[in-house]
Amino acid sequence: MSALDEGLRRVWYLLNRRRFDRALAEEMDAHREMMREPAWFGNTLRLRERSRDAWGWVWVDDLARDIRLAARALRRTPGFTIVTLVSLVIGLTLAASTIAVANAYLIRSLPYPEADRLYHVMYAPPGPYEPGGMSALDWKSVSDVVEYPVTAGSATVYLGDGGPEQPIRALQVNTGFMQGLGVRASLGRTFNAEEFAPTSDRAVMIGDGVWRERFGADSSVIGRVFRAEAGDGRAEAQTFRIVGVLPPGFWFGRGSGALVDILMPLTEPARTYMVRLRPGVPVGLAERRITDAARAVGTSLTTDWTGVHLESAHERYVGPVRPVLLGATLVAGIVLLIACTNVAVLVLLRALHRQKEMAVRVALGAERRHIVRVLAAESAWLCGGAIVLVATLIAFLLRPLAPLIERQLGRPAPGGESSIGVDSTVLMAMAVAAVVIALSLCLVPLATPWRRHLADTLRASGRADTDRASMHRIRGALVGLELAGSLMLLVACGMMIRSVVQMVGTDLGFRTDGLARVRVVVPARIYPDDESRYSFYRRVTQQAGSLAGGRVALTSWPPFAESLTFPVIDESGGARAKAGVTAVGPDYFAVLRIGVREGRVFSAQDREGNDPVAVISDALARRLWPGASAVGHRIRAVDRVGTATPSATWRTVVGVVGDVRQDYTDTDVADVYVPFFQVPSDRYGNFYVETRAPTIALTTALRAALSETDGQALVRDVLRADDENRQLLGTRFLTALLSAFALFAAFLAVVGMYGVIAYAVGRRQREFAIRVALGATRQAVTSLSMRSGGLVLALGLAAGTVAALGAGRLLRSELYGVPPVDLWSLLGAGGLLALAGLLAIWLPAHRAASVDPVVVLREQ
Amino acid sequence: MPRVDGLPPGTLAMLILRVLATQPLHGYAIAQRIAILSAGRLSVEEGSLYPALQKLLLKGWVKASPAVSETGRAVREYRLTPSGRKQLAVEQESFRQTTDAIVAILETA
Repeated sequence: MSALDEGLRRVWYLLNRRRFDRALAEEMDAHREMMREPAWFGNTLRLRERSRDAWGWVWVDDLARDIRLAARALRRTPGFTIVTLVSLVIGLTLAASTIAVANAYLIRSLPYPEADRLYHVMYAPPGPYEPGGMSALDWKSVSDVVEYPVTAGSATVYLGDGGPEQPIRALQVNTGFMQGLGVRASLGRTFNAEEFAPTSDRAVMIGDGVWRERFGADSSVIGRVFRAEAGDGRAEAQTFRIVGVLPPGFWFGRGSGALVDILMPLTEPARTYMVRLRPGVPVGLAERRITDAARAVGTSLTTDWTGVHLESAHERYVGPVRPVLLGATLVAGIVLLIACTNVAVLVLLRALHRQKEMAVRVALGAERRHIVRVLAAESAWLCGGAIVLVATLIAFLLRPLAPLIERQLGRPAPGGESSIGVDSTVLMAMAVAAVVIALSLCLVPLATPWRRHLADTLRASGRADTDRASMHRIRGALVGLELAGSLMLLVACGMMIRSVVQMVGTDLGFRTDGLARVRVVVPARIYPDDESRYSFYRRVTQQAGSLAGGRVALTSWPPFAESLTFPVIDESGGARAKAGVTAVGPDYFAVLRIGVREGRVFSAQDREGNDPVAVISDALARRLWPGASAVGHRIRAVDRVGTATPSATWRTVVGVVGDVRQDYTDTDVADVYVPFFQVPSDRYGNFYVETRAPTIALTTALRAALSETDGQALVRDVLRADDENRQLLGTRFLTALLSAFALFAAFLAVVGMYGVIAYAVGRRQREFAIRVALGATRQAVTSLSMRSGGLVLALGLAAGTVAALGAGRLLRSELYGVPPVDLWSLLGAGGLLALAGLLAIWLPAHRAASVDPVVVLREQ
Repeated sequence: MPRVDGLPPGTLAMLILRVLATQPLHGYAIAQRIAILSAGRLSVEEGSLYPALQKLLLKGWVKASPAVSETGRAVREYRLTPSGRKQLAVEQESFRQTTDAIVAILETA
């Protein structure tokens, strides 16, 4: 209690200390006046000081003075202050924004409570074929390890009873989904137990978006009944009752991050792909228990089945983007390091310039700690200012950048878009970085010999190069480090640029520019057979073509998607091969510019009822009939990939076309093309349109046009085919990122180099003047001062080359058509940096040599 | 009469407390009282009263209130607080014990 009172009195004193001081001074004066011998009073000033000391606030005044002194010192050298601040701000901004993104993906959890216990269930890793019967798995038997099986099946729902309505995404879920993911209602309630019974009328929860767009955010929507039909085609229109509204931003799904429009209870058994484990249950144990349960119900278990595997739901979501994020963070860290090294060089040079000032201070009685305090205040100003600027910059930068970053990474951040930002983790990282930087910066000047050669320093006053050899070495090492780091980044950047050039220059066998991809879905109830679907696809492609003013190409399998291969049999010779099978429309080869090598491609006549034909790729033709013409042979392959009942027909080969690679790493270019209208079709259609118009306009126009003829068909958002080249886009993104980082680093290194040389020649100005006066040529003097800089440059570049070889190894998986040790990038980046470095050395050296010796000698 | 130079550390505060125990006084008066009570044998730089007073103010053992000196100057009058009175008792007791012990050693050794 008394300690608290004491503290309060201290604070009260601090707040009133001017008044207090004045009162005390008056009191002492009065005392002296009354004394017969005022000399016995003592030293008034010292007594006042000691009185102030008693309150324990001296350090505040000292601190305020140091801060004022530091601010004044920084204002006196605006060049230094600005360059340092800019270096720190850019370095820290890059680092903090990459950390913010990495944090949003890798550290923050999925948007469900205790998401670390959610696991994805893989029934047969890594192959694509899962054992059957898994939907009958008895989760109750493993309830000691699995708290909830989280089951969800997607469905399409057509709101309204007929009529032109765009279908919306629905999710059928079990009770485990609701409890395991902690689903809440922002309005109304979640499902109760009876609503999961098959007999009841169907209760639904609607998504926030649906609630706002279709129900006008009306809070009386709870209890409303609407008619709709599930898009599986079997179901008739049903009655749905709204029981609740989902919170905004509720999503479920891997990678897609799709918002859920409608949630309804799952009434039939379905396969479970996610579980919430009980707290503290080891993954291995859960895997064993679930494997045993799966073995009990599995139908087509092969002998080499390895059992059920669990993968953390968060890991599964962010795993694919982790390398890119870690790489970017690493690069940003290197750039920050280079920026800090550069600032350290500048601070060191500044300290050398101030050697005399420091010596005067020491001579006047300043102790080491006093000087360190002022220096600390200076670096605190610099780092504090930088942090404030960085925090503001990031807050403004990340908001518009977040959607771009999410698109580049191919998936939204787990916690939603707004989670890419400055949170406590990012702030903490920034604060730690700033404190470490500030501390190391105020230690840098202590490396200078400011104390030991006090008299020398005061006497010398810039007459000769008084620097010790150790100073040369420290400066040289710092600048060399910067050069090495930036060379490494530049080389990595060069290799990435060459990869992009290689990719752009690679002919995949088709074009994507000027093409848009349209995806449509129709309900099976209204389009039950091939006939109805054929006529729908003819209608929709004709409409899309006339809306876009270009040709249209139907296809069953888009490029840039990994394709499966199937056996192809030659009727005459029994020759066999494996090939991808794609059903395509008449103009497909023309629209995608796949060249015709032999024979003809499909025409409108290659349709149902006419002779079955096929077109094959060049590679397949050479494999099946080496050295002979392929046209006229008969082959058989599966007609259509992905249909429930595979069929195969003998087809006559009518043409051979160029090879197509699905992506940049695809080496399997054997393909069979079959006419779209000669094979079974399904509800999901996919075609390319030649158009340069905005995709949104085409989407809207096509939806409007279809609403008259095919009101129940779903037109998904039209995509630009170029945007689907994820490999190229990803490499481009990484390249742009790396280029920005590398150029900034190189710029800093060159500035550091310039600063060091400019300082060094400045110190030797008098020596140079004497040399010139005694007859040395200016060239000789220039080369003299360039020699030491050249050594630093050479050593820095050598170290950078070694680092670049390591970086190439790390980058290997991101490179395309460029070896990990790329001579061209190395030569290009090294040459560029060497040139810039030489210029940075030559400029001050030349300037120093061109000054008139008379002027220099008179001035000094 | 020889003057004793300086005081054992901490005793000045105790003396101030003791002098204030009878009545509130301002700085000069405190110095006067100490000089009179010690019959002039104890003398300190009178100014060092003030740092000691700050310490007592901080600890809450004395309180200051505005007053006017005999010469008409604005000064502060210091008065003992209840906790100051307790502190005085504690310090007197411990001082007595210490001096007794020292005296005992000086006389027997």
